[in-house]
Amino acid sequence: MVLGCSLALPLVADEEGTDLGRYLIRRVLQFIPVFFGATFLIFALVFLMPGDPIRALSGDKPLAPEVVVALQERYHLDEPFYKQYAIYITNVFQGDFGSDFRGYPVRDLMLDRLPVTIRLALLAFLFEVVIGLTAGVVAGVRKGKFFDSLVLVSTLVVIAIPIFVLGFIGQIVFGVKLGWFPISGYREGWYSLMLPALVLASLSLAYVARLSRTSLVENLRADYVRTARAKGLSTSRVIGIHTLRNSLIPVVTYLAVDLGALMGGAIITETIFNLPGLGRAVFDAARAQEGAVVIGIATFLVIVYMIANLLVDVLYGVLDPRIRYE
Amino acid sequence: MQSHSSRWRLVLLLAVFALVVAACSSDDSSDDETTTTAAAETTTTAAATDDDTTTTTAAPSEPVEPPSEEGTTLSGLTVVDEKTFTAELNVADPEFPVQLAYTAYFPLPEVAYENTLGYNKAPIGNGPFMFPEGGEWEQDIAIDLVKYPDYAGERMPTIDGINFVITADLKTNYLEAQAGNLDVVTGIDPDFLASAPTDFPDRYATSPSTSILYMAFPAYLPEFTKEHRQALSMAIDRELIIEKIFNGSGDAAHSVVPSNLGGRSDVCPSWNYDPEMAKQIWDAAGPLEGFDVWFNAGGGHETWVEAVVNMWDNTLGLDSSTVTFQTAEWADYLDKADNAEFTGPFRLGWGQDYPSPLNFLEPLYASYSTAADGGSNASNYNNPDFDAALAQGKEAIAASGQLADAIPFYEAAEDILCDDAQTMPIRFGVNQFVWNEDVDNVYMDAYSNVGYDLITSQDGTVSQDLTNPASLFPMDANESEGTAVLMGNLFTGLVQFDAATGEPYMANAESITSDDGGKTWTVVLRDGWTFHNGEPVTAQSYVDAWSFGAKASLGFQNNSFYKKFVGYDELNAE
Repeated sequence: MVLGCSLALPLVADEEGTDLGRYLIRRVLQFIPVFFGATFLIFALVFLMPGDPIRALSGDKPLAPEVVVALQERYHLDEPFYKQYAIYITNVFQGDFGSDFRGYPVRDLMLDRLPVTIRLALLAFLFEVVIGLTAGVVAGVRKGKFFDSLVLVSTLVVIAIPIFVLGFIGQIVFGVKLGWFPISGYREGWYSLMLPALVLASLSLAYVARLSRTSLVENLRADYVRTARAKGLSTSRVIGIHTLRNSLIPVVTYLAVDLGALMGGAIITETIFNLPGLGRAVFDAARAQEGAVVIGIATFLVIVYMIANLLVDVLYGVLDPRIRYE
Repeated sequence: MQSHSSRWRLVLLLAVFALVVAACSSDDSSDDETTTTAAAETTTTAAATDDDTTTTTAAPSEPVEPPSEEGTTLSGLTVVDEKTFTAELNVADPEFPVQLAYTAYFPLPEVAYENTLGYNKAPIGNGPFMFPEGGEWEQDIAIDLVKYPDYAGERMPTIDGINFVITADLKTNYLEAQAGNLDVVTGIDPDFLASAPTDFPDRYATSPSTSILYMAFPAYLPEFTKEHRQALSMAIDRELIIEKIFNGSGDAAHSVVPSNLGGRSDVCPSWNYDPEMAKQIWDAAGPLEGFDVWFNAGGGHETWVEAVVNMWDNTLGLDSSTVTFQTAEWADYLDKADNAEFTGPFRLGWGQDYPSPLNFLEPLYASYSTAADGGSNASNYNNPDFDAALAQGKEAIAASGQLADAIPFYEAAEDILCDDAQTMPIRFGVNQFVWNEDVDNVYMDAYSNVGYDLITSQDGTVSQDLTNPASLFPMDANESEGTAVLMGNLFTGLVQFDAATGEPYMANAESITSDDGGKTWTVVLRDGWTFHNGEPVTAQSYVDAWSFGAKASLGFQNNSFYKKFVGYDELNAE
């Protein structure tokens, strides 16, 4: 939600509004073919999955043939591919994302699950930015010192360990042994998201730390930094204003794209920690071949990615005024 | 030109605005969400009645005609009086009463038909536990039930409520139990099996779950001769597979009938490990190489299937590199089973519907139980002698009313099956469960359900793990997801099973009798039973519910359970 709301900010803040406005419009126009292309591809993939989803509903015992026919008609599974896609897209534009195999509208399912996933992603994003950037910047400034080596080694360890192992260790240490956080579930709201968010953020956090450190170290060697120092500027000003702003460009690129990944990539985390979010829903739906749910959620994630990407491109200009929108 | 582009800009701004609003409004509190849900339901329902072509909503959300109207009930079900009804079956079935414990045969209150989607979120049943005022199924989170104070059943639970915590990861469940947050955990991750008895001293137990894992040969592949099949089956060391692959959990299967239903350990040589004999028969039968072995992907079957093939390699000299492993996703796999498309031996499993040897023989191996018949005979096994033995067994029960009289015939049928070696039983499943000090008297029955009429709890409630159910509608609830324990506490069927002994007993029924060998059954209900909303449980409640489930157009998963009643075809004729 913050994601969507903050979209309006650059529109207001930017001084050369017309250029940026035109640029934004062109970018948003590009959403249309991407949207159709992505939904079509996802739809085709789900359609091409072998096996009959209706048959899989009932497990070991086959469904009565009469029931199979009734269900196939209900979900238009007896129609040819292009017709199914046409029906789906038409309904989407009327705000109807179809219904899952239980008969509930997918729209409601998504609205139900969205807050959990957004909260988890935002919290993870917060950890990523605060811890990752701080560690990276401090390590960059104290290059070669103990803290720098500590960051390099610990991030390497985190990158090397798969996320489900991290989750499991987190549960045992902080949940069972120390009892600081709930082991799983969503009954305590934000608080129960702390541990999963940290686990979810860990990998990106390590990348952000390494990326910002490297970028900062590189920029500190640049001519303009030497000039700034020669002018007699304080170290904090040299690093905080001049160097950091330039060093952040690759980090921002990574962060924005990663926000999309955090929302879409929470499948494992949500499953381990029993969180009722989009990731768990799409995982279940993919296994049951519930096309409407998979496509609905995937389409939503596509939109999130597109907006995140747009945000990055807009933020470039804020960080580096030399970049022009044309 | 300028006006054109500014119009576009307006449209786009609106689109962006809509996205922002959509994204922002999604974070509303849960109260608002329920209202949107309710509103959405009414609108889709309205759309469905307006214009048939646009509806993608499930049929059950539409108003359903009252089932008691003429022509909408199964003609084989007749209400005699308030407490009595008769059920006429297409084919005499002496084991009909024990089948009635299944969720498909639960009764429904009147309100269930008015709004099936709403009812599905908080079903009103006649069982010992109910949804509290305002409580409902929280998708992927929890289902909390409280005791129904007016429960008329004899086995009133001592606890005040059950909290089903919906989980998706076995490891997490175990950790929650260790931390004391889950009272009962009904399945243990293989990684914890070794440490469970020490982590939970005196609070770890196993019980037979009466599910069987087997591998069968398609009868439509003639290259697998009887001798080949026997040799391949004899070459499998089932005990070793249980010990090494399943960490000692489960029982090696040397019969298709589980031991707690009178299964024997020495049905015939084909199902016992005998490497020398296997090699002899194999060599005499001639070479058979380069075939496929099938299992469904993602079900954890790779390791034991590989072990089986390696045993064939070691014992028979079958070059395992000529065996190709074929996998398919579950939906695809079942398609292949139904359409006879397997190109070699395939694995499948089976969980009992009701406790009788017949349930492990007839649906899986009778010639009249193929997928086309609505059965599960995936190998298309067809042996008239086997069918005849089953028929004799059923006649014997019909004549005397005693299951024991049918056992010799069922055993004869199993002997034939074993000699043909069309199927290779591998493993009988077990329930493995742990519980916390807070609770006591924990039993899991053959259906993997916790006996909540027996369990005791110090704080009055019991929490247990649960997989997110597909549906809470009795006609639609699938037993393979472990939903049965939830349904069995919200509802009480005509018959139930004792969780500790597995013995069936009359629950909501006073008596279930037949005078004509199992063709027509008279069911008499007990007095004083009510649904959670106070509505009395009558003969009509059962007749309406079963007729409702039998309507194929409503698409209920358990629909095939009503096929046995006279009138199923007429009901679905139009």
